[in-house]
Amino acid sequence: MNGVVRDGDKFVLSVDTRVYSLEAVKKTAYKFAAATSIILQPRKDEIVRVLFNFAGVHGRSDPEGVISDFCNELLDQDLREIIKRETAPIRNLILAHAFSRSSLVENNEV
Amino acid sequence: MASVFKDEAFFLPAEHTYSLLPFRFIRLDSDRYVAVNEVGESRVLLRHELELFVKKRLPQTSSLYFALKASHFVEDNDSDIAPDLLTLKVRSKRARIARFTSLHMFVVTLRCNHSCRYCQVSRQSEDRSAYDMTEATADKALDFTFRSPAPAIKIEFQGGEPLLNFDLIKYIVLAAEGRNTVEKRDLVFVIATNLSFLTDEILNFCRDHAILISTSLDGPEDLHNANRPKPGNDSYQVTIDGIRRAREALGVDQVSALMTTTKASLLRVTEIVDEYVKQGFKGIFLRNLSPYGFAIKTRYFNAYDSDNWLNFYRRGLDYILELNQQGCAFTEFYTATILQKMLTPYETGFVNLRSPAGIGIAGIIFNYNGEVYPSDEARMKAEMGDKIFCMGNLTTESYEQMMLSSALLTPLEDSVAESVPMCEECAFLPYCGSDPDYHYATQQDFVGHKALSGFCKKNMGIFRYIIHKLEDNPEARQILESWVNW
Repeated sequence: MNGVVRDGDKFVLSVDTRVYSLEAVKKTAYKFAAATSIILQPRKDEIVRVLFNFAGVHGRSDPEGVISDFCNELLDQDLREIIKRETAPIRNLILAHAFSRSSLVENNEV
Repeated sequence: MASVFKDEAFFLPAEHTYSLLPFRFIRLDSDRYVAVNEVGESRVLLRHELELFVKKRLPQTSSLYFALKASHFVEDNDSDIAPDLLTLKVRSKRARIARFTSLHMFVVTLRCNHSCRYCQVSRQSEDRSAYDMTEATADKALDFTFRSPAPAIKIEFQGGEPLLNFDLIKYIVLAAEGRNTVEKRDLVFVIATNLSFLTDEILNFCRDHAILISTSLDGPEDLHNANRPKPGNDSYQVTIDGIRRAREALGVDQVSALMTTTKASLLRVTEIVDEYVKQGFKGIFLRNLSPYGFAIKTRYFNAYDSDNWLNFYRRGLDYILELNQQGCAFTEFYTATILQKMLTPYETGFVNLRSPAGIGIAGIIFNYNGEVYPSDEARMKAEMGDKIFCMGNLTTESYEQMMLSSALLTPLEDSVAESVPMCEECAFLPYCGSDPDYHYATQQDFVGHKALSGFCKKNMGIFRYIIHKLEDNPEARQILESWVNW
């Protein structure tokens, strides 16, 4: 697999944080807890090393499949960040408006 | 001579003139994604379509653009009404929060004549009256019940086997009706019973007070009796006879049944559905085991995993859709609940598919000894020795103390799905909910790691399956839409 280095049960994927945010990398890693254990290692440049470990309880996982899915999910997280960035103000406005003048707010004011 | 008509370009919208409205997306299958907005309206689209849309390169003359605009994923210069409409729908969806706690469950006794292997309640032998609720405790529970701001109140009698303490049920019904002459709530009573102790006197009382009967039917006779052993090994026959008698006395629609899936059920979903059809029920709730009570003690909960159960559910839903295609109108109730959330602007009252969680604010349970729990599952956990969810006791704490107790508010606040890792970005969030009971039972944490959660895996599998049916099978879609109350 391109961009992935294997070391025994471990695989290392290098991610450039100028392309993907660190938050996107972390969110993606969190989602894969059932398939692999992941350690993120920052380097001095803007690269983050994503260390996949398939030992122990994750021994049955398909490493190439998992890493491929990880990369796809990373792309999705990047898209989610764009949506979130653009829609956060209107989302807050909609929610604030929706809860305004509700008995919940009135009760809190009392 | 110059043309009187403008160039075609004049009529095309300028590029990048639309703004995204909030939505989430998730992969549906290898090719497609599903995008869902804040109130549950959805569109299925290909990855490149999603990317074009988000990056403002989707032509505003395309049918996909119009579809997304119709579902409030976008606003543009032509119309800015979408945020207002979304606001109204958000408000409708959340209206239940202010009318909290409509379901009040009274454990009138822990005694039971059955010894079901998966039973979610620690039960005692029939002759131990120490496990009956007293009238004094019932009075305090009614005080609590009518403090609820809910305009509709359901009082459900549970056990053990509640009919073993029928005198107290009568006392509570009459007392509640008396209070309701002033309160004017929409008051409903349900008895959750195995029907073993049904008498004409009980049926007459139920008829006179419009009390609903809910019982357990796990499937064909051999499966039901294996799941629900009792002396005489005749649980199935007792149940069937009881259903018939109750229907004759109260009316067909006054009697409902619930099933529980054990390992022995997994390969028999069509037989289970057939049994419900044979007994004249209009639907079934395909229900998996919960990690509480005897299901844990007897290791029944670990007898199958989420994948096993999802296969069971999918085969069951396919079979039910086939039955409908053949003219037999029959509903799978869990699917119907989810469809209600997917296809309408209204929220359902289903306890486990709400955020904030349904504990305490959808339902509450009064144990026989006066202890108050925010859910039946929390009560089951307490019977196993862990009282982390105990809100207090009716004899010593006030309504305010219990409703504002950390036993209730901490799991409620911690588990709000909109702020939980993975849930907050999940496209299925408007269809799902949070279940702090489940995650505490399985991960010792109210929130739980959703990548490791059986609750998450089960519900994600169901959501995807339903969306596949809606998208890819027009005949199935027509049937599924008929299950929704519009």
